[in-house]
Amino acid sequence: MAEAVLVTEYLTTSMIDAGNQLLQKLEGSGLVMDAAFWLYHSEAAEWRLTLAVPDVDTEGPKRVYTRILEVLRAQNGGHPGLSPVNVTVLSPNATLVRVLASATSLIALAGKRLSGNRLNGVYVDDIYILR
Amino acid sequence: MHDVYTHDLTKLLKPAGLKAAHDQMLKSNIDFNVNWNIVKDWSEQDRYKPVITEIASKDMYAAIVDPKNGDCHG
Repeated sequence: MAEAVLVTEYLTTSMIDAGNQLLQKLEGSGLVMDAAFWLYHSEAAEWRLTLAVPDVDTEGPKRVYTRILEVLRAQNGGHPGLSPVNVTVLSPNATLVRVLASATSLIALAGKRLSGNRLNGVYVDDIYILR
Repeated sequence: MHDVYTHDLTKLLKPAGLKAAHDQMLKSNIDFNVNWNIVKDWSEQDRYKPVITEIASKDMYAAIVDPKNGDCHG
């Protein structure tokens, strides 16, 4: 039985693992992602798994979220895992995604955490790059 | 009181007294879950976005006004 992943104010290894597992399932379902990272939202005081998905621009966020929810439900067999509300989708044209892509190779940043950094003029509180 | 000084919709659920009912809706209603995921991404910083696509705007509007599973129903 899948267990609920507690998304806390602090980034945990279980959150990183759950994020990577979901990415694998989403890729297996055919969802294309240009980037994926855990991003800290200071106002909400929580981390959100953030996915840059080209389909957001062409199909819209509703279809993308529907696909993600279907994968989450299938992955968890009806049991709570990573909560859908802890997932955010972005256009690959979103400022943060473009900044990350232009700062350096995303592959080189995979598995790295950047805290309190200014990337090409954009301040990022805290981010953990999955891919 | 300090918790209401925020634009973050997720954080506002608790001081509004809606957290428990909202959690129940998320668990039991897939359409509401999808709509909330769209709405929760709204930020007051969106006004600085150079481009918001037509489909993203339509999805946001529909998620809010959906009479059955929208985020302004009730």
